[in-house]
Amino acid sequence: MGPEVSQLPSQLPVNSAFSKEVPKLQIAFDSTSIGALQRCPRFYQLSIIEGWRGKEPAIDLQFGIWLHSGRERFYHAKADGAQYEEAHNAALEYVLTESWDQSLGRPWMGDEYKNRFTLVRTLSWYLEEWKDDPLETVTLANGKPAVEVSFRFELGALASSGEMYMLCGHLDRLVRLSEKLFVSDLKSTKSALGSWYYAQFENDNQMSTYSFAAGVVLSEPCEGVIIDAAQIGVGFSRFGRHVLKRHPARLEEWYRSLKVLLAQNEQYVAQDFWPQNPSSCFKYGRPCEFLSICSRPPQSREQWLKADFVKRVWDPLQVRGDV
Amino acid sequence: MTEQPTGNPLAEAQATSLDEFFSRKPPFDEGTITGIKIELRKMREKWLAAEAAGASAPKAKRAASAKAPKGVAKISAEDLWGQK
Repeated sequence: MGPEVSQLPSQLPVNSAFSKEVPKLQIAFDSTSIGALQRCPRFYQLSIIEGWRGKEPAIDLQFGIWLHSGRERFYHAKADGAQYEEAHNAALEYVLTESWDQSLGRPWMGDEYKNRFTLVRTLSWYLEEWKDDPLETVTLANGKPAVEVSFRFELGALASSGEMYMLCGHLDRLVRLSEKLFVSDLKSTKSALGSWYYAQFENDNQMSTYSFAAGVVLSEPCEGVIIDAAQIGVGFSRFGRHVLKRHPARLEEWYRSLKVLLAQNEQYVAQDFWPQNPSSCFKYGRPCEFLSICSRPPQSREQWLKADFVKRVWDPLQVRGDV
Repeated sequence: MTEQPTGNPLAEAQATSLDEFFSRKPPFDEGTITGIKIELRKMREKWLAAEAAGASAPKAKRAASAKAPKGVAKISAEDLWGQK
């Protein structure tokens, strides 16, 4: 999910996450940008720096955005004093309204698994599943619930341009479990919710970023991330919860690794060349969306990108929440 | 996709009602929202009961199709057990 702006190339806004001094040098990083750079420098160049994206509708992304926002409406209504049923209604009204396609005058269709009906069903069943939630939403200093919290702070590392690197992004929900601080992250998937599903997050960059950021935002140690997973079937939505611990020493290691990664990126910027990482061309048994591009001779790639992809700006400095 | 016949007039009536709900455009009044929520709650209770009973795929399919609106009633063994 992310701060994405998609327009005609000539109308694309300036990406404020990049250096004002050195072209193509990203200064403000979110977990998506970091993950892209870790995965493959060329993937990072194409998807983040140049902003190419496939033309097909991003159904998973849209579904996730509405599911998160619906859940956010529920917690905000509760924080404003609403009872469970009233807050539940507020959440459902939001997703029902948002998933009506005004331009086409019909419900958002999505696909067989993710569509208007399964969106509303999943949100409603999720709220039922966790009606008596042992996780307590953190209340921020401004009195609002810590849901969809946007953050940005300096990383304590200076770029060659003289600008300070920043870490930014959005935290789904900050919670307490037995008085300890965790990030609660909502994921939707078509996969079964077994140990294999949760294992993908054990050393996941996004979860480390969130744990690190939550500790900085609240100035107290964050224990890790609690994954709230929703399995979306055609005829059902099933839920699971899994705790991912992040020991402080692991977060130190993540932070150190990030600074090395940023230094590597400066080398790529200096050479205006982001090398391919061929071992990442297949992930989870699926080809990288740019495999068809990287498989062509360099001189013809731009032409194929223009034919098969559209440009958008991925600007992690766009604020989404209330902080 | 078409609704699977359930042989249960009440369930079919509920499905028709939900189907009608989900083709509606905003704005939604409180009664409509509450109606949808109640139908979804009934649907969840049936699903949970079917799952708790260790329902076979065909039985769970019938349970799901008795509650889901038209066009989304299909359920497969893959859906049930996550097998590909």
